[in-house]
Amino acid sequence: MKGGWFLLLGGLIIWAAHFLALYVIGEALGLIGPARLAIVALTLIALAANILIVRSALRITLDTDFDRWRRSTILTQAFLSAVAIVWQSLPALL
Amino acid sequence: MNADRLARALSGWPPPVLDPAGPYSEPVTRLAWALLLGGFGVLAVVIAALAIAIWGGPALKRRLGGDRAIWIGGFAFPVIVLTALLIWGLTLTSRLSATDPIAGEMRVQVTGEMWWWRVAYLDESGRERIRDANELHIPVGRPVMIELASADVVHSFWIPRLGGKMDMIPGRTNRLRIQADAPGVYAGQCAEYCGGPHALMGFVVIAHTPADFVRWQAGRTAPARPPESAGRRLFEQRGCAACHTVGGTAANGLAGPDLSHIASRRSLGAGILPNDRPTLSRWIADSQALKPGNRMPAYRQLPADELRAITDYMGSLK
Amino acid sequence: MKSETGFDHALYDRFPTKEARPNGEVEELERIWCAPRGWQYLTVVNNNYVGVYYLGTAFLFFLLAGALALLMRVQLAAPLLEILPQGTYNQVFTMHGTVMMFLFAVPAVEAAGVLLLPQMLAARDLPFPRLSAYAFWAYAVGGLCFFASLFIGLAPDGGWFMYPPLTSKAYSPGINTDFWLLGIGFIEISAIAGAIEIIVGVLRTRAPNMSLDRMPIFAWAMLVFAGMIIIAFPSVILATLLLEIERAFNWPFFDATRGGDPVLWQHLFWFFGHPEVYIIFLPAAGMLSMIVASVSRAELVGYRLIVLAMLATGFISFGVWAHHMFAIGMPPMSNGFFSAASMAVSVPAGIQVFSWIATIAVGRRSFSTPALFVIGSLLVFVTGGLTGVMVAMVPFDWQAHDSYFIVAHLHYVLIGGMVFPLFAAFYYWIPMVSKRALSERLGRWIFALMFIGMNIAFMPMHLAGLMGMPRRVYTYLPDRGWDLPNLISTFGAFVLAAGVLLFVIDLIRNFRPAPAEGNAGNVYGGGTLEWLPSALYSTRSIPVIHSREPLWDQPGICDDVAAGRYFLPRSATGKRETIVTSPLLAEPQYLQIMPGPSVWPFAAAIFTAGFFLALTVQAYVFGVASGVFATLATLRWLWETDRPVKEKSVDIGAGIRVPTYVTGPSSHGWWAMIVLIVVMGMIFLMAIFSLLYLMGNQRDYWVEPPDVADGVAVYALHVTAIASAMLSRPVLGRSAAGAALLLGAAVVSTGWASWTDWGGWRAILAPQDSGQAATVHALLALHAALVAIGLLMAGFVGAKAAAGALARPRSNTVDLAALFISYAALQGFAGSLIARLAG
Repeated sequence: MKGGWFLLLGGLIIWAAHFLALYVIGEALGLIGPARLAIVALTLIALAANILIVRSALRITLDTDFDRWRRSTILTQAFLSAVAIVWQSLPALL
Repeated sequence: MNADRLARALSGWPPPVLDPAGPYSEPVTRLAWALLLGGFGVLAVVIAALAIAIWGGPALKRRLGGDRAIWIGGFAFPVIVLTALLIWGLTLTSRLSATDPIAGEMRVQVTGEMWWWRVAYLDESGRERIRDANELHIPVGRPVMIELASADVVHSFWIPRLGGKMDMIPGRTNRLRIQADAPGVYAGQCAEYCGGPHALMGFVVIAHTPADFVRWQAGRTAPARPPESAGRRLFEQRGCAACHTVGGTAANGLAGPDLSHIASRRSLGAGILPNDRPTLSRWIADSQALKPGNRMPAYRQLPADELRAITDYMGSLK
Repeated sequence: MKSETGFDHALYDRFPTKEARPNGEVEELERIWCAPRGWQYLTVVNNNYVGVYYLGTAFLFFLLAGALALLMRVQLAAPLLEILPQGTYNQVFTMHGTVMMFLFAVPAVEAAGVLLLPQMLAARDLPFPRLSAYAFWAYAVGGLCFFASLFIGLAPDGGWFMYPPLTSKAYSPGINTDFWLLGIGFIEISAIAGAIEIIVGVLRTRAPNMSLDRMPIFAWAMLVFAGMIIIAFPSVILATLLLEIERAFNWPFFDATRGGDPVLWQHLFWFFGHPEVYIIFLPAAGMLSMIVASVSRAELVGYRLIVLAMLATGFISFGVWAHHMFAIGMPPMSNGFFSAASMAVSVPAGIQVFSWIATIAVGRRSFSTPALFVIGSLLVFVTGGLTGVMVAMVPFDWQAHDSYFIVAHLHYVLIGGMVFPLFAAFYYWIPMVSKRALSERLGRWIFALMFIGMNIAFMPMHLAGLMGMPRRVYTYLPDRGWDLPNLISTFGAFVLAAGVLLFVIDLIRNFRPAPAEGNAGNVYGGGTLEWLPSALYSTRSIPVIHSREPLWDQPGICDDVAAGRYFLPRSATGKRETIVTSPLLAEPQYLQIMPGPSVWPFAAAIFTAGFFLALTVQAYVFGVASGVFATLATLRWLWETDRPVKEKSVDIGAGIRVPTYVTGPSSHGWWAMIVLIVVMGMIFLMAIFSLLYLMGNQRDYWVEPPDVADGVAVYALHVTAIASAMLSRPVLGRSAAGAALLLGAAVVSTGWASWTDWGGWRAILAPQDSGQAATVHALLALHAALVAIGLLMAGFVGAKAAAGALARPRSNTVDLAALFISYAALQGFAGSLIARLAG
C-alpha cells in the first residue's frame, strides 16, 4: 500500500496545489508579464506531476479487486485533474 | 410622452436582459441566447437518454448501460462544450471589464445610499460639474464610465438593457462602462439586498441624442435662480432644507437627494413612482406610505395650504 | 494476499462458522442494548433512536421553512400587496434560507448518515454515540429557540449570507443579527461533531473485508461530505465569530472606514457557502446511487467513476467560492479563474447523472415511488446544473446575479439535488425503521404534485429574472410585467406544498417507528448490509463481506448473520462494543468498548444551547453559568469513558483474538483528535487569510508590526510547550502525576508565550484601531481559547491521575490531551510569527 492516501488522491491534491498557487499569484501580482510566465511554469509542473502519478499507478500489481480499483481511480483522477488544471490556467493565457 | 416612455421602460417586456440597447449588453445577450438554447438542447438529450434507458429497445439500452456511455455523455461531451464556452466567456469578460479610458467618454459617479442614488457628473479631471439624484442623463453612442461607490451598505447597480450589474461596496470604487445606442428611457434597480425597502430602490437612465444632451447639460450648468415664493420659505422653515439642496437657495442639506431640478425628473422615490403633482404631494405629506422605511420622515401634520405651497414650489423646479 | 495491518486474509475463510452458538448470547445482547423507557428516551445514544429523532427534527424544520416560503409567495402573488409588512418579509426570507440550509439540509443528510451508516457498515453503532446524542440535542434545542425568534419579531433580517456592513452594529443595531450569528454557532458545532463521527465511523468501523472499493456508495458520499464539512465550516465559524466580535466589542474586521473590509466577509462566507451546496448534494447523490441500483435490481454502473466524481467534487468545490462574487469588481483574471473552476466542478456532476441513466438502462424498469423521485430529481437537477453552467459564465452572471434567475437556479439544484433524493430515501428506507412501509399509491400522487408544483413554481422565476426582477424584494411595482410570472409561481408553490402535505398524511397513516425488530424490511430488494436482519444491537453477528451487494452475492448471508456465524456473535466483554477495522482494507484491528446511554451529553447540549441563546439576549450571568454547566457536564460525560476492561484481548469469532484497548495512531480516539485538529487548523488558516487579505487591501491602515527577532522568547516558550506535552506520553508509564504536571506545564508555557506576545502588540495598537489590530488580537484570542481548553484537559488528566483512573503505561486520555496541547502551542507559534512577518 505504498503511497496510501497521497497516491489515491494524487491528481486532486495536485489540482488543489496548482489552484492555490495560481490564486496567490493572481491576488499578489495581478495580470502582469512575470505572473503569466509563473502560471505557465506552474501549469507545466502540475501536468508533469500528474504524469508521475500515472507512472506510479501503472506500477501497482493487480492482485486484488482493491488494486484494480485503486489503479483505475488514480488514473482517471489524473486525467480529470489534467483537464481542470489546463482550464485553470486559461484565464491567464488568453 | 415622457410618462409613456417611462412606462415602456418599466414594462419588463421584452425581457430587458434579452433586449440589449448598447455595445456592453449586446454581446452578453448573444451569449445568453446561446446558453439558453444550448441548455435546452442538452436537457433534451438527457431526457432522450433517460427515455431510452426506461423504454428503449435492448440494443439501445445496452449501448447506454456501460462505462463507455458515461465517458461520452458525462465526460467527453461536457469537456468539449465547456472548453469552448470557457474561452468565449473569458475573452468576453476581459473585453467588457477593460477600464482603460476611452477617448471622449463621459465620467459619472453614482453613490448608493439607503435607498436612493447620488449622482455626480465629473469633468476629465474628476471634479464634480453637475449634481443630481436617482436618474442619469447620457448622450447616445458615447461610452459612459460610471464610478460606483457606497455611502453605507453594499448596493448593486443594474441597468439590464445597458449592461451587467456591478456592486457598490463601502471603501471601494468600482468601474462599470455603459453605452446606449438609441435615445430612450432605461430602467434599473438595486440588485443587492440592502435592507428595508431594498425592493423599492429603482433608477432611471435617460439617453438623449447628442444635441439634446448638450441642451440638457447647458440647462443644468446655468446658475439656478428659483423665484421667491411661499413654498420656498416653507421649504426652508419646515425642515426640508436640512436634508435637501435646492441650487441658488439657502437650502443646502446633503443627507437626501438634491432637488434643484426635481420637477424635470422622470420619477419620484428613486425610480419607482411617476413624477406627477398628486404623487409629489402625497410623497411630501407621507412618503412612508409610498415607500415604507425610507429615511424621509412623514409630514402628516403639515397643513393643507402649506403642503400645496411646497408642492407648487417643487413643481416649479424644472 | 496483501495485507494492510498484517492480518491474514485467509482467516476470513473460517466464516460462516459451522459450530452451533451457545444459548443466551442473543439475550445478553438484548440486555446490553436494551430499549429505553420513559425518561430514558431523552438520554439514549443508540443511533437507531438518535438517527430517527435527528431526521424527524430536520424534517420539521423543512416544513417550517416551507411554510415561510408559502408566506412569501402569498405576499408576492400580486404587486404591492401588504400581507407581510416589509420588516416581517425581510425576516421571513432570511429565516427561510437560513433554516433550509442550516437547520434542514445539513442536519437532514447528517441524520441520514447517523441512522444508516452503522447498519450499512454492519457496525453496532457509530464510534462516538454520545457525541451523536450531543450533536442532536444541541441542534434540536438551539434550532427551535432560534426559529422562535421569528414569533417575537427578533429574527435576523440580513439575508442568509448576512453581508456586512448591513449586518454591522451601525445598520443593524437590534439583536436580530446576533440571533443569526450565535444561533448558527451551535449548529456549526453540531455539524462538526457529526462530521468527526462520520469520518471515523466510515473509515474505522466497517464490516471486515469491506475494502474501500466495496464500500456502499452512500458511505463514500458521507465520507466526502464529512471531509468537506471539516474544511468548509471552520471558515463560517471564524466569520460569524469575527462579525459577532465586531458587533459586541467594536473590533473593525469588516468596517472599511477603519481598515477592515466588507469583502473579507464575502470571501470567508462563500469559502464555506459554496462547498455547502455540495455538502448537501453529495449525500443525496449517494442516496440516489443506492436507490437507483436497488429499484433497478442492477449493480450500479460506473461505481468507480461515481466515487471519483464525489472525490473530485469534494476538492474542486473549494475552488469556486468567488463565483458568488463576480459583481464585486474583481479583476477579469480572478473572475475567469473562478469561472474555470466552476466549469470543472460540473464535470463530476455530469458523470454521476450519466451513471444513473446507465444503471436505469441495464436494470429492470420500475415506477415505484422511489424510482419516480429518482427520475424526477435527475431531470430537475440537470436543469439546475445547466443554469449553473450559465451563471458560471461571468458576463451572463453579471446580468443574472442577484436576480430571480438565481432564485430559480438554486431551487432547481437544491430541490433536484437534495429534496427529491431525500423523499426517494424516505420511501426507500422508512421500511427499515417503521412497522409499515409508506403508501405506494399516495407516493405517486405526492411525487406528481411535488414535481409539477416545483416546475410551475420555479420555471417562471427564470423569466422574472431575465425581466429584471431582483431577488429579496418584499414587493414589486405593477406594470413591470412581473405580475403574471409571480402569480404562476405562487400557484406552483401551493401545488408543491400540497404534495408535501400529502406526504405528511402518508407519514401519519403509515409511519410506526420500529427501531428494533418488526420493521417492514427490504421492500425494494436492496443488496447492502442495512437490510440484514437487525435489532437494537444492529446485526447479531458482523459479516465478512466479499462484494458491494453482499445480500445479492453471498447466498445465505442473512441466515448466517442472524445465527451468529460471523464476527462478534455475542458481547465479548459484557459491554456495548464494536469491531474497529483498518481504513483501506477493513481488517479487524481491535474491539472498541462503547459508552452507553447517559444524561450528561443531553445536559451538556441543553447548556450549550442555553449558553449561546443567553449571550444573544444579553443575559450574561445566565450565559456564563450555562457555559460552566455545559463544560462540567462534558467533563462528567468524559469521566466515564476511556476505561480499559479487564480482558486484554478477546475472541471475536472463529478463534480470532483482538485487543480491547489500543492507544496511539491506530486508535479511533486519535483519529478523531486529528480531525478536530484539522478543524482548528482551518479556523487558524482562515484567520491568517483574513490578516493577509486586509494587508493586501487596506495598506493605508497598516502599521509596522513588532520585530520578528524580538519574538524569540515567545517562540521558545511555544516550542518548550510542544516538547513538554509530547514528553508526557512516555512519562505516563513511570508516573501519572508526572504526565499531568508536564501537560500543565506545557499549557502554562504556551499561555505565557501568548501573554508576552500580546505585550509587544499592546504597545503599538489596540484592537479597535484597525482591521490589522483587530485581526492580530483575534489570532491571540483564538490561541487563548485553546489555552483555556488545554488547561481544562490538563486538569482533567490530573484528576484522573489522582483518582488512579488513567490506563498505564499508555492512555488515550493523555495521548489526546498531549496532541491537543501540542497543536495549541504550534498554532500559537505560527500565529505570532506570521503576525510579525505581515508588515
